[in-house]
Amino acid sequence: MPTPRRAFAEVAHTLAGVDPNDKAAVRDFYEDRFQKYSKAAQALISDFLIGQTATPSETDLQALKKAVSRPARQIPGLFAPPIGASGQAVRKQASQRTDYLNEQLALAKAAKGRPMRKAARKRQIAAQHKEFS
Amino acid sequence: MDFVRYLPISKGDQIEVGVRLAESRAAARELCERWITQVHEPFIEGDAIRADADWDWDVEIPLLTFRIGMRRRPRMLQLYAIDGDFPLGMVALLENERWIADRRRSASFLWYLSGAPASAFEGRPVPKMITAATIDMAVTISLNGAADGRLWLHAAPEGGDRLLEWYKERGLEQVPQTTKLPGPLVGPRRNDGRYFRLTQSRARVVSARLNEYRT
Repeated sequence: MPTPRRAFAEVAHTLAGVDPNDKAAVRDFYEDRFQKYSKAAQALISDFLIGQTATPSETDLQALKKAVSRPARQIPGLFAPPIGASGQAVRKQASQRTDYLNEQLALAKAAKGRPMRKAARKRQIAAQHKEFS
Repeated sequence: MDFVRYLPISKGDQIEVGVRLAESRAAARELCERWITQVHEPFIEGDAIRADADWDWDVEIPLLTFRIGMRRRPRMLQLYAIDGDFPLGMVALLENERWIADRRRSASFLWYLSGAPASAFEGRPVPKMITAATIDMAVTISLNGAADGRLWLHAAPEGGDRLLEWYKERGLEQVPQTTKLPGPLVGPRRNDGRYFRLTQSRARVVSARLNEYRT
């Protein structure tokens, strides 16, 4: 169940150099600086803390720091089981998404008479990913 | 949802109770504030024996609960006595966490649970089974969602063997220390042998124990 306060303090210390023995400073970190991280990074930190039942190891803390320092788009999405859906349903959804993207790509090619540029396709995929996730 | 509506007090009497559910940090703020001012600060904070004496219901728990992403369905719940609108218990959980036995399946993970101590009821009848009713909020959420009753939690080390026994008496099953747990994205979730789980069938049995207080 509970994440020990020491884990909150050590994360604040590792990510922002906050004195882990200063309760007020640790609290300020979560109230202020934590909320300035990207949503993906905040979710990653929350995920990390919810999984702790003791003071995290230095190795784990450094791994968290490294992951959080990545640009938001490079932070992988967190695991969560699909709500009310089986794995098969998720695979089907992914397959539909690929079909849709291929269809859009073909349409774009036909409209412009040239293949879509890599960057444009990346943007399109990102937009679709956002919509489906 | 079919939460507990009454709790026993002495001499066979009962008091009426209600449940508040917060699905966002903004909604949780009010619950936490009420809990802090009426129960946590006056009756829990100074009690060093309690595992929850230094829990931060103001910032850390609600903030981290609701920043994990809405796919995990974070929830905070408060059990309260309707007479006097007095908080009796608090819960923070993820309704849609991964199940221990099969990560593709949904299960509720009970993160924080705290109940009001007897000292908070000076001059008033002390409701019995507060903690059981507080856990029941989590079980009810799990039974009514995609988790279908599957629930797991970690027993605070400060509670020692007594807490392990308490969870066993409530019908929860201790997870073997050899079981690999669904970890965070960064770092492992270490199994110290203090994890408990409720399977779908056991959740129904545990829930049924409080049925007489639901209607």
